[in-house]
Amino acid sequence: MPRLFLFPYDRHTARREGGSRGAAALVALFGGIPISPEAFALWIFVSSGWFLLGWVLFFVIWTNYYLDVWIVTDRKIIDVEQHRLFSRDISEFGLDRIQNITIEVSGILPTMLHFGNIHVETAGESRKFIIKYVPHPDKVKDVIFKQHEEFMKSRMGRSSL
Amino acid sequence: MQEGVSSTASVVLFLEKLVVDPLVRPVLWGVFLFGLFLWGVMTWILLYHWKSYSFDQQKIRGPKRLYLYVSAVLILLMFASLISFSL
Repeated sequence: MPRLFLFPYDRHTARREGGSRGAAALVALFGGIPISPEAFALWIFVSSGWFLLGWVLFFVIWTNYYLDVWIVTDRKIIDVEQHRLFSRDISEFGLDRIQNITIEVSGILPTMLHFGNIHVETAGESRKFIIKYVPHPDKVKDVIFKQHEEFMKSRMGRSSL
Repeated sequence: MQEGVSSTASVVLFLEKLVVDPLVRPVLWGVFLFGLFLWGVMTWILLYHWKSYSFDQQKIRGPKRLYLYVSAVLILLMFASLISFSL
């Protein structure tokens, strides 16, 4: 089916005094459709603006992810949860209070790229500690368990003295 | 919109219509300056968060540079296209 195109292009080029018609046609990016330099500049302006908006939004989301951390020490875990910009919670719990650690890896992408969520249940706490989209959650679980075991051993050693 | 006109052609048609509108130039300058202001505010907020809450200042340096360089390129592109549009 033939496609119908209507272009006011000649009107604009005629408007420009002494306009060089050869240089005026920018066709490569638009699939052979002629476009005036003004319209092309407008297109660049709008596209760059959209990219800039997306770029800033991407970094806002990334910052929320990047600043959401757990710090595992030899005695406790500090959970810094960044909800959004200017909104964060910091909570901590002793390694002796850990009751269960669950890893959640569901979906093709998390399985292939080795990331997932870690849930930690603690004694006496109604809330569950969750860290989302952690790279290599099994390794993180091992680190927490190792710290937990060492802490419990050192504690038992101290109490037996 | 006429039947059979591709989406690219309709975008081009729309842009060509905007070019002849006398109001478009001041509006675009306004959009640009407002966008620049918003970008400045957001950048200040992001830099504040990275500086205050990041645990590794060395690690954040790479993403910070990437953010600023790409933003600068896009803003310069917007400015250059606006200048060439206004001439």
